[in-house]
Amino acid sequence: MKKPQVFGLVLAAAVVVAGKQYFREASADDLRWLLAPTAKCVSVLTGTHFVREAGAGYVDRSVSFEIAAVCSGLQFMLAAILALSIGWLSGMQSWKAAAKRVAVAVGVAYVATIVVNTLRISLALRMQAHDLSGSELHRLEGVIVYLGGLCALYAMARHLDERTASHA
Amino acid sequence: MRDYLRRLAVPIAAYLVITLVLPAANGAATRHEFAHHAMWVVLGCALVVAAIALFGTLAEVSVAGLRRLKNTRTSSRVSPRGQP
Repeated sequence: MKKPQVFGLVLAAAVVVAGKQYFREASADDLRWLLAPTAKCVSVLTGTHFVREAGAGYVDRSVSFEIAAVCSGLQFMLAAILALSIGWLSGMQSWKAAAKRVAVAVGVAYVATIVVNTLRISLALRMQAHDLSGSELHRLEGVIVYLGGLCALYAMARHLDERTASHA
Repeated sequence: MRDYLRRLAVPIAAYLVITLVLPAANGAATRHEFAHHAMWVVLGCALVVAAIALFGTLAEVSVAGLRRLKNTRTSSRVSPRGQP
């Protein structure tokens, strides 16, 4: 492994560790940068009306559903940053390319988090409407949607990277 | 199956690192809820891998079947040797 690739991995690991530390202490208000677009997308997709409640997150009382800090998808975002950085390791041939790829991974992971989390919460709302709202089922649904989304994101990123490399 | 696991190894490992390894390293493993959480994460992973392997294999079989059908049709149009 070349030095820029090691640098890229260390950079991604540092982002992940810092993100985990931030998540441990972050409130719903701190995570507005993730919760607000997700709540907006869920509202548009499902016809619900999530509104911000200071300290709690985003709530729609008519469907008895709350998008709290733990639902922000930050864990998914960190996993996506790690997976994308590893997947794009072959392209990290210089220091600049390594930094650029990790930065792009952060951006892509942010957008993917909003998309996947919107799908997860919309599905959870559907399940709740059909009386399938047990906490264990909700947890399993979360793992399946997040991991499925992560695998799909990784496959797309690898495919795009291989196509770009073959055209270069 | 092994090929699918190899392709999915990175996202699955990244997910497990974030949801299980790092919390365990921070001392969460001593809490009772962590084992419960870990069980659901592992079950979810197993279901996702099984679903991707199943649908991937079905897709590969379908594509191979379509290719074989296409090749058969093409070869029927090829003229015998020596004829224009």
